Amino acid sequence: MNNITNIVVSSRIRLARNIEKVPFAIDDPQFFENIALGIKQSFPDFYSTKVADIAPELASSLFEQHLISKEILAHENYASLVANKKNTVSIMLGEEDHVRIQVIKQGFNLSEEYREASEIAAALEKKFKIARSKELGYITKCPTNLGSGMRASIMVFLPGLCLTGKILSVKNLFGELKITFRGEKGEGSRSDGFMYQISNQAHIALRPEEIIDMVIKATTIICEAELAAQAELFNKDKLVLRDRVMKSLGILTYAELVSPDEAIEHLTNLKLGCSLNIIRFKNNRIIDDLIFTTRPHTLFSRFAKNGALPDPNAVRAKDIKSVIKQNLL
Amino acid sequence: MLCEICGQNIASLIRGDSFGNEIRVCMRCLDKPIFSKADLLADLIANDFDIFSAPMTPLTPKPKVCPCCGYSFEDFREFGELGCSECYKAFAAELAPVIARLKKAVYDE
Repeated sequence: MNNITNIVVSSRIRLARNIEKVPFAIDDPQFFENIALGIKQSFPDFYSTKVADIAPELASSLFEQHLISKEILAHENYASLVANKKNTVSIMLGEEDHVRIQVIKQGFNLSEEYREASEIAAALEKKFKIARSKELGYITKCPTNLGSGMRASIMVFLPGLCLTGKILSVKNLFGELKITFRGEKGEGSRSDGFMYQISNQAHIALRPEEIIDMVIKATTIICEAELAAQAELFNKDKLVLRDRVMKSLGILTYAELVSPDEAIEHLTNLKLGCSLNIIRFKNNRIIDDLIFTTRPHTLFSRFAKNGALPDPNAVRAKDIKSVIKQNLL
Repeated sequence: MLCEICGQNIASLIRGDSFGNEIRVCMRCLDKPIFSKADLLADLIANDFDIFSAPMTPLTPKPKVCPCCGYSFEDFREFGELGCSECYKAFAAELAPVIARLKKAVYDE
């Protein structure tokens, strides 16, 4: 299980909801602000904002963290966002559907995330007339989201399958499960840091619990394949693999400048090192954190002063260096 | 030759009618709706209208639209999305095969 927690980076539940008899493409900002207000009455800790009022760098950072989508940014003239301060809950108002509730957390937490998302959906349903029918379930703009309106996704880190070249045949592992498997940014390139996303496809006839079970089953299959691929790599050439991990550790511990690409390359090597017990940190999750928090826009929103961050590569190097030094065992 | 729509001006242009036939028209009638003899005949046969009381309306049947948002099933065909929650009721018959396929897709490859 410890090894599986090194593979699963984050999990996410998304619920789509729409208000009855209101066009899906409504572009009235007041309509979405009213929904935001209704949600905040039930969850006073949440904050809300019009998407147009989010500073561009912060918007890009929220996008990098998967808290908002490209589509809602394109609807900035009328869309709103409700979120919590921990950045685990984001409710997009005016995306493809009127309401998209999203709960995203580190690790393997689909059931917990579903419970949280359902609480928000239930509160919404008490205040607004949500479109649903007995036969079709929750009504969505695109029929493929009908039913529970739910998408469950898991972000996994698959260096073993990528480096052994087995990633291309991994889809066959799913058998008859209706699962989408793709690179974090769609293409699964090396620069994505071996990150892939597993999520459910059409689910009209399935209950949320069944969808979660299906995604967990697919994730378990992938994790087992990844662990086998890592073991194969390690047994084939221990020295080369150790060298790869230790070189990255050296660079990230001593470098004065680290570019976004270098950060991804070396942090993913450290993550591989954790998975193979070549190196250990007080908490291996700090590497996952660094992978996301040192991305360009997120770094900017964390460290910029007066709207500027003069030397981001130096700031990135310093940030990574300090976290590694504090946590390396 | 005189314009085949107004019958008054000299026809200097060629355009198509709703059956794909070429007709000769003047500049003024280039964009006017056409009611060619063939069109009129087809309309009469289809609708059994009284030729003297039939209103001069376009001949293509009006697409079925959602009474709530005005979206048509043709829009769904084009974009793969619906206009509002009521579209699912308005186009229930047309959507039935789509829904059936989606239900099947959960279990079958």
